[in-house]
Amino acid sequence: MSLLDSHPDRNALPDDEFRQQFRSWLAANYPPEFKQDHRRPFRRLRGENHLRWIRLLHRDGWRAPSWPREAGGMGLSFQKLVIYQQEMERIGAARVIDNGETLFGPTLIHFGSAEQKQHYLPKVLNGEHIWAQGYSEPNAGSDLASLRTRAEDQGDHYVVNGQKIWTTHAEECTHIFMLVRTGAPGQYAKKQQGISFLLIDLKTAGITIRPIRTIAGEVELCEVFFDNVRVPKENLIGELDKGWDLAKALLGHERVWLGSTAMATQALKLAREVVIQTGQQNDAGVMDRLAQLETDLHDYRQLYAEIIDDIAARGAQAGPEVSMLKVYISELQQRITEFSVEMAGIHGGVTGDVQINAMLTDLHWQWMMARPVSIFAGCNEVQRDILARAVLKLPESVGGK
Amino acid sequence: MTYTDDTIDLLRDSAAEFLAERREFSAHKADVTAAAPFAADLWRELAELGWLGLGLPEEHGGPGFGLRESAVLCEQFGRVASPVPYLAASALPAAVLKHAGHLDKLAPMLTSGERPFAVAWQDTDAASPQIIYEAAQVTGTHRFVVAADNTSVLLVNASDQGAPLWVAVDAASPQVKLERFAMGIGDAAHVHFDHAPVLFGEPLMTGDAAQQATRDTQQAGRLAIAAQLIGLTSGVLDKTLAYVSDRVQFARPIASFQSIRHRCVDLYIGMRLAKASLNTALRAYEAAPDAPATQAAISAAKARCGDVAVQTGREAIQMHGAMGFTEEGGVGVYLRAAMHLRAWLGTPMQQRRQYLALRAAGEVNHVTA
Repeated sequence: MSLLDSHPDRNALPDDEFRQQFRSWLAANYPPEFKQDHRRPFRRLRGENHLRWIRLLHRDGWRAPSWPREAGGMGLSFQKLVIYQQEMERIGAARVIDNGETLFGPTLIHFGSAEQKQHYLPKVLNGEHIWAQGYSEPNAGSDLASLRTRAEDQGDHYVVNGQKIWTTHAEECTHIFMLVRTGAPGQYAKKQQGISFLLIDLKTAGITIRPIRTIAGEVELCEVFFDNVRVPKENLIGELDKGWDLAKALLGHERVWLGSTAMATQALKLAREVVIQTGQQNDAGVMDRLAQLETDLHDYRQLYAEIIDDIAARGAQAGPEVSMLKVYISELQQRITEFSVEMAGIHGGVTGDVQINAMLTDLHWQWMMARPVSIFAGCNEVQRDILARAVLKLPESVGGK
Repeated sequence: MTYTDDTIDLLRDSAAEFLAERREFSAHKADVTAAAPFAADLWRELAELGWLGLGLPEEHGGPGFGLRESAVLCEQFGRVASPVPYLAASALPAAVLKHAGHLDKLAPMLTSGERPFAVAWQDTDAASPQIIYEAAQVTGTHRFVVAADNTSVLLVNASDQGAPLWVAVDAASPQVKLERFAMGIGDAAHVHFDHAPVLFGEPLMTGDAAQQATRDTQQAGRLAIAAQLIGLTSGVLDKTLAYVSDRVQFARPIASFQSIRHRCVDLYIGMRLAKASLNTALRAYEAAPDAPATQAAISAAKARCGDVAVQTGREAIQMHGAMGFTEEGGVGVYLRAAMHLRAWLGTPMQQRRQYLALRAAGEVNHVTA
């Protein structure tokens, strides 16, 4: 298999030169209207904008930085991935939810057959396929292994019945990778067994997508219903009933990026501007609270860098301690957004766009958009459980799990 | 000698082992509000270990090394909540002496353990009157001089008609009066000078060198204090994790209750933030001690370490239950030590203001690289 095109091997560049090249490319190519601003400090690219960005990256060989080169990616070292993220953060680039690149691709590269890779990877790279993640169900959130959506073996195909929920941007996606139960009831002792990793084309008959409106006033999440959906057998990735192992393998470096400072940095920029535009720079009470948030982010940056450097130096997978990162930065981001609303006084009561002196902002949006960060990807309560068990090694109750 | 990761690890391990075996280095006072006499015998043992005066140049009889090694020892003294004033009587004086004249005489005095040192200076206590230098004598009062004892050599900052300088004064001199009191888990004194003669009959340094010594001692002092605060934090956290894992109530270890587990996790995250912040500040200090970005990093670290040590001490008492309220429980001593160190050379609020001021001046770039 060779998806290798003519793009240069940028991983071979010295780190400084790599940084410089990416910085120059971004300066020349990044659409200014995509950048985050005081109105949309956590802007994400959707629909056509998302596709436009993917194609720009793909055209110039900056797509799929973490994929190996033989799969069509950039094959960057961990250190260079960090630089890539830093440069995106530096220009205030919009967030991109690209499950095909970050979750599906790496899984397929590791567990897929040659035919599956040949078929799917190029279509992820060129934006032909946009992937949704189908993990959570109404009764399987933090306790994901309790999922109940079933795939029945019907000889030459599977029939899928059930429901997924919190599926981000499902309406804009062409395909979904899912965890489904394939083991017969009572077949396995543990609920993590008997789960399989299945790919489904969202145009297949029997699929209904229902958008869910969020408290931020947006439609970004969906419910996806499966009613006797026929799925070809070749759409199974990895071994039957062993899908949990594939899902777990995804939790390597991806968990590190959940600790990124990008969103908190944007939130803090907005907070500073709120203080200035409301003329409170000389109020000691306000400034002491701002100073607390500033030093919180400063200190967190040092911890994030320390853990990233350690992973890079050891060439190892991230350990359970990275749960610390997500817990702290998500809660810090929330504290910053709450500060901005409080400091804005009555402006903070406006639902939607509000003009504060020279600044156009939307304080309701940024507050509400900072809510799910402590919920998704393993809520912070679960993360604290993991830390207590795996890092602090605290004993659990007698007869506990 | 310069440091390597190996020598640092070796120093940390041997200090931890030594202090764990020698309980007298962390012995608690019967009356926590009374000043205790200087523990001269323990001090001489530190000299034999070669721990005193780290950072003083070898050509003047110092042991070499630098602030990083001092910080490692401060952290270890913190871990066992030791009242032995290593920070105040060795680390801080060494930061002043680095810039001083007559070092060939003073360095051996410090490193041999023959005399404890103490730094009497204008720091953050604006109420302190200026000490006046005239005709090789000093007059005035320095307050809250940590670890000052009547056997100390006092390193004193003073002014000669408005010009700053540093002198050394023998605390045993009849023209020096000490009002000693308990401070944290150690001692401090208000020191009154009444035409006290200075050693060597002249200042140790004047002018720019004196100002540089003051600035450098403030920064080095904050780093050393932050390191000791980290030691207090990790020491009391380890103690607490062990306690909640052992203590059984309702037929299960109390560490199995989520309310305890999650609080322990938050304390651990706080400690890791503090360590990361201090490591950054130490590296910045070694690379460019006077840079505004270094000052900001030190202020952030001092603020974080102070807050985290007090918070951990407070939570440790709660999680030890009634045992935490007893002196013999050995938990309160960590909080008491942290209460002093958090305030010394700048409270967290003052340090965060300092950080913000440096940032607002545009001298500290927030974005990585």
